[in-house]
Parts: sequence; C-alpha cells; structure tokens
Amino acid sequence: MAWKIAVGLWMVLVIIASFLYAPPALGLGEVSRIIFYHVPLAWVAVLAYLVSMVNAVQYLRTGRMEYDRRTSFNAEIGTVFALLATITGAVFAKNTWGAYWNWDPRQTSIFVLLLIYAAYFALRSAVDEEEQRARLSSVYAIIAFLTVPFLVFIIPRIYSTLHPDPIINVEGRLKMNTQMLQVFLASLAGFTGIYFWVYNLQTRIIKLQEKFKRK
Amino acid sequence: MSDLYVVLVVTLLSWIGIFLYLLKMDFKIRELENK
Repeated sequence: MAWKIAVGLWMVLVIIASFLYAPPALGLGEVSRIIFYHVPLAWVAVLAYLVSMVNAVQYLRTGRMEYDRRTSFNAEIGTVFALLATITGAVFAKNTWGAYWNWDPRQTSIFVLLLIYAAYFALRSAVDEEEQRARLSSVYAIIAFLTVPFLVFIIPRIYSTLHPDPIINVEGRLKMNTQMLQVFLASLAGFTGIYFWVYNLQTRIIKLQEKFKRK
Repeated sequence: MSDLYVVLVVTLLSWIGIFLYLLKMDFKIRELENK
C-alpha cells in the first residue's frame, strides 16, 4: 500500500513542478507544459499494449484464461491512455497549429492505432464462446501490437509533420533544459507507477472473479 | 500568470479525484480478498 500512496504524492509533486518549476519551451509558450502529460500518456499506452501482446502469447502457449483477461484489460488500459494522449495532443495542436485536428501524420497514425484496438474489442464482443474468443483475440492482439512500432515510431518520422521533434530524435539528442528534463522523467516514472497500480487492481479483480467462479 | 494557477489547481484536483477513486477501489478489493 505504501508505494501506492507514494505514487499519489509523487504525482502531486510532478503536477506542481510541471507548472511552477519547469520553464515553458522556447517558442511554444505555456502550452508546451502539456509535454509532461502527453508523452508519458503515450508511453504508458505503448507499455500496456506491449504487456497485452506478451499476455496474448502466454495465453496461446498455456491456454490459461487469466492470460486472456490480462490481454484484454491491458488493451483497455492502452486504449484509454492512447485516447488521453490524443486529446492532450489535440489541445496542443489547437494552441500551436490553430486547429484541434488536421490529419497530421502523428494524428493520423494514432487514429489508425485506436481503430485497430477498437476492432480488437469488437472482435471480443462478437464471439460468445469463451475459448474461441480468447484464441482469436489473442492472435489479433499479437498482430495489433506489431503495428504499434510502425504507427508510433516509424511512420510519423517518414513523413514531414508539424509535430515537435521527438524527445529522442534522429540525432539521438535530448532537446530539453535540465529542469524540463527532470520534471519530464519524474512524470514518466509517475505515470508508469499509475499503470502498475491499475494493473495490480485488475489482476486482483481477475483472481477474485476466478475464486467466486469456483465457489 | 493567474491562468497558469487555474490550470494547475484543476489538474491537481483531477489527480486527487483519480487517486482517491483508485485508493477506494484498492480498499474494496482488499475487503473482498479478506472475506
């Protein structure tokens, strides 16, 4: 329990630091502070999709239903975080490019990613038989994750985009001053902590469901 | 400057809300686990 309280307090500090300690990025103004939320949200989405894929592989190897449930709820977490990353990105776009949505390669690729995972949930709800649903959706979850590196890391770098340079860019350099970097890394750690907390809750709920089923 | 503080307070309140919700859920699950 202590580490969960620590995550809560850590995020309070991160939020305060993101507004009062870190300076705004040059040329982008105060709206640039959204980077302390937008990038960690996207990072957690990718992490959750990765864990979802790993659990899908585990399900296909062992046939244990708990892995299927883990695959599914990690896809849910990933999609919620990807949606939040899209929304924060749109707020940034409105303030810097003048429109919430303008089909920039970054926006298009995250939209396609959301559609791919929406299809995963549609597939799950379309199959009634539990084992068949688990098998089909596990295969789909693996294929879906294969698109993530292309849609998140590769395609937006191939086409010219209005999106600011990625944090770690083609030159392999970090383009942030020290204070911004400190808050950014602290935020990444905090959001990762939130992910593990939600993961912990969901895993315990699955165990409880199994227990009640057996009774 | 004051707008910055408004956004800070809204963000903080949102996080505190999410945090308390997660904490409440954690306690409820613990209660069920101990039953």
